[in-house]
Amino acid sequence: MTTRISRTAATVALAVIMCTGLNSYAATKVLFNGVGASVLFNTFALAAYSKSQCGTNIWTYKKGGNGIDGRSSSIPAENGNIWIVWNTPLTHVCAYLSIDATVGAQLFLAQPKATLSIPSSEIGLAGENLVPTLTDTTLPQAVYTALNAATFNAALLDSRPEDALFAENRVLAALDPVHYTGLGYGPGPIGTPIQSTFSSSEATPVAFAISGTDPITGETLPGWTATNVGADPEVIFVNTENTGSNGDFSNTAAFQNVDRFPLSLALNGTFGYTRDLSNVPGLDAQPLNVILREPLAGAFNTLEFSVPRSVEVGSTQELGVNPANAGGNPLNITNPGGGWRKRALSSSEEVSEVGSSANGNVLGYTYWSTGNFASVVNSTRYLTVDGIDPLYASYAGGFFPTCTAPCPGLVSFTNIINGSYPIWSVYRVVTAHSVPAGVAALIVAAQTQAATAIPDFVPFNQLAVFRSHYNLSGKTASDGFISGKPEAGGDLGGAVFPIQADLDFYTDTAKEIVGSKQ
Amino acid sequence: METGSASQRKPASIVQVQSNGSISELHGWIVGIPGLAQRARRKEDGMQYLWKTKVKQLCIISLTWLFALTAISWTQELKANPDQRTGPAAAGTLEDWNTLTLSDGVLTPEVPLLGEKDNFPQFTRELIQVKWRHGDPIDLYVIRPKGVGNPPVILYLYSYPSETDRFRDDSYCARVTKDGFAAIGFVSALTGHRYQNRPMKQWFVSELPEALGSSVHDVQMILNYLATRGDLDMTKVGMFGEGSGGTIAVLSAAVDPRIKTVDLLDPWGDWPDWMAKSELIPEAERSNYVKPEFLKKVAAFDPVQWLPHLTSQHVRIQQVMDDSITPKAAKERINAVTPPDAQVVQYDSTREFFGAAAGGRIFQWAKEQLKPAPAKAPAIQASQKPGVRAVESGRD
Repeated sequence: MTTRISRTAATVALAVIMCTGLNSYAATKVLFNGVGASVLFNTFALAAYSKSQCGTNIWTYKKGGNGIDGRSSSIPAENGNIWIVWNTPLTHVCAYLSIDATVGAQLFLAQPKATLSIPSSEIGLAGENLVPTLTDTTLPQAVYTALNAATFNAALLDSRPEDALFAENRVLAALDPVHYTGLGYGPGPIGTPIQSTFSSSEATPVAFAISGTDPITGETLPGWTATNVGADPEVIFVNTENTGSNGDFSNTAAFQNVDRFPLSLALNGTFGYTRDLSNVPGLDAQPLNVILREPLAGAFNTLEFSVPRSVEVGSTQELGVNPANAGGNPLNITNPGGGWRKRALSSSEEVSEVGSSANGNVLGYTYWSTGNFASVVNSTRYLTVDGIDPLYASYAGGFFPTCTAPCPGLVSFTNIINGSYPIWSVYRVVTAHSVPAGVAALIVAAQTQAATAIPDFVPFNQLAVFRSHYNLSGKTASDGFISGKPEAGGDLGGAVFPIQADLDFYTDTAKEIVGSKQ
Repeated sequence: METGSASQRKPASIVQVQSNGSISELHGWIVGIPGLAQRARRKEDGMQYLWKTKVKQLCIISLTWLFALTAISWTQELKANPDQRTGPAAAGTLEDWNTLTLSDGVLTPEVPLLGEKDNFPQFTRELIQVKWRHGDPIDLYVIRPKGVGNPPVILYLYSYPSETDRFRDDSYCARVTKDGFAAIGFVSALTGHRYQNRPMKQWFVSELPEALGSSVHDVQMILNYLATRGDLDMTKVGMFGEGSGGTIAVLSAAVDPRIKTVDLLDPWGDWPDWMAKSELIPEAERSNYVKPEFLKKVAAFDPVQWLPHLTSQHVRIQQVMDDSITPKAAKERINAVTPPDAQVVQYDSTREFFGAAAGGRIFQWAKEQLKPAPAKAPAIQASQKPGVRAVESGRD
């Protein structure tokens, strides 16, 4: 009898322990563990910060997380800013690690997939309020436990994965100083880190694949899905704090617009003076400084293939850059006018350096978002490109608007919706073939937020135009509007057409408008 | 006594005593009410009881055996002759796909059914269901220009895979009927709504002889039907074919002299090269289609064999060289056998083709062949346009 009671008690106790243990283990579910473009850092944090999404507790930290690509111990950890959002019962958690878009693609598409690493020293630390309008709390142990070493379930890119792979391979390929089909940061599969001129930040190119087998482990890649989120312009902006010369960018009458050819020549180091960008005669010769992004960044590649490396211009931002030479990496090359080209390694670094008067008459670029430019609205202005405004129907001085959320209608994106502004791209979220429910919900939340609260991009379904796709990275192009023909191929710098034109052409010929580049 | 236990369940009739004293019967398992069933049964007539139990059981058993024997016999027959599963016998006709010319009486059309008629300022559109095979009704779109008594006719057949959506697109209908031409739209066999009740492993290419052969027959049957309408000029018939639709157009024109003009866009053909390299073929299946026995089976349907016979028609072949469905080698082979008067236009890329064909311009050539404009300006040679190569120039 005693034995029976003991056995029963032991069984019940074991069941209780198991149930308790299971409950503890399953308590905090990771809905979204994203990695990728820094430009989407704020947008997705704001979308996640909701009772109906991830929760209303946020913790952010500069350089607070790492992406661990476990395919080789030689691959360095990719360090970046992080936000984590969770709900109060600690049942849901979301996180985003901000790094380069191409590196994000590499970490997600690596086989086996990369994981998030958070230093345990950050448990209990106060956050750094990196997302405008949101107030941080401290990082709880349970949230850390759920996320640390968790596999990424989404990559946030500002291009198709085909474009990201093309960019990676171009970076890793041997330097081609004539056509720049290779940029010389290889050899692969693990290349030379691209360094910031302004900080210790760096990004390492590492080979990956989008189909077939992984180039490092040889493991077979599973299928994936790229979900279109929305379109965003890349903005050319200048520092306006230097005064005293009519050749300074503060001369707003002279510096309102830059056409694609002068812009290309500024970016590739050919132009040495600010006045080379203006059609106003008689300006003083002021050195022109340019801050580029690294060629693994989506911002670099969207601009690269839209303007300097377009079919029409045929140049590159990397003209004359040899990573093996002095001044090549980190980039610091002077131009004929005494100005320079340097490199920033994130959106926030790009914005803060262009916003610094210490950098003189400096020109840079990054994607539009209310958060991106919030800190430099008084020190910078944006320029039109080819006479087209990226944010409004017409130009009104190039002042960045500020948003006290919600701020629907703050910008109209008129020339993105109609496709006339030349530098824009569609944000994509790459996931497993079957999009996880938590990720899908967050994408919809981000689109809703962009439409109704914080206009950081144009939701994809509001676009009337598309960029013609082209064969790239082994994928045959498809624009994605025809039933039964999933979107495929690259589209950075693709020629812009109305969606209806693609549908009409397909109706007549059973062919899509593919292979056209601007 | 426990009721409803498993041991007491037996097949029987559930008998319900209605409030008016009559008895109704339901079939099933009696659970828990044997007493009630027995009492009700005693009230029945002896013969009725016998019928409801013994004779009925005997009939059910006999029928079951009959079905089983039939199924076994059918399965054995199919094992012995697997081609019958989807062949002419299955379709219930005498149709032989290997004979492209359709003899009288092989296919018997049912009365066409008008499903819908739409009136627009520029055209009318009829959706008509035509049928000459069991289980294979065809949605046929007859789109006629307004204000033209008996317009010339152009058949539009697009490649596998495709649907009939484009024929419901009003702006498309306006483009194809522009300048007074009737447009006839449909899809080929094993395509769109005509792919049904098939094992998934059977598709257009795996069943290529059937897909092409029956579609060529369809073209002839459709022309027969159109001729009965009396509102079309059947002396001026053209056919636009894209991809596999181009292949079917070649084969149809070769056997039906009513087709006077053939306009082809990237027609499939040269099966050995096509099967070996076309991106349409799943890699897992490709080995099936490059086997000599398969290639032998489809050889009779190769446009390469039939194109040289199209000497009495106006023929244009447009090839977009970056099209990945028909490999370059196949395109070149098709070019090599085009009849002397045919016009072949090659575009280096879809981008160049777009410049030449967008906005409905792709349809103009066939229209000009059927009804040349009275004051026709000299045509610009394709070779004069940047990026476009005119391989051979025909009647233009």
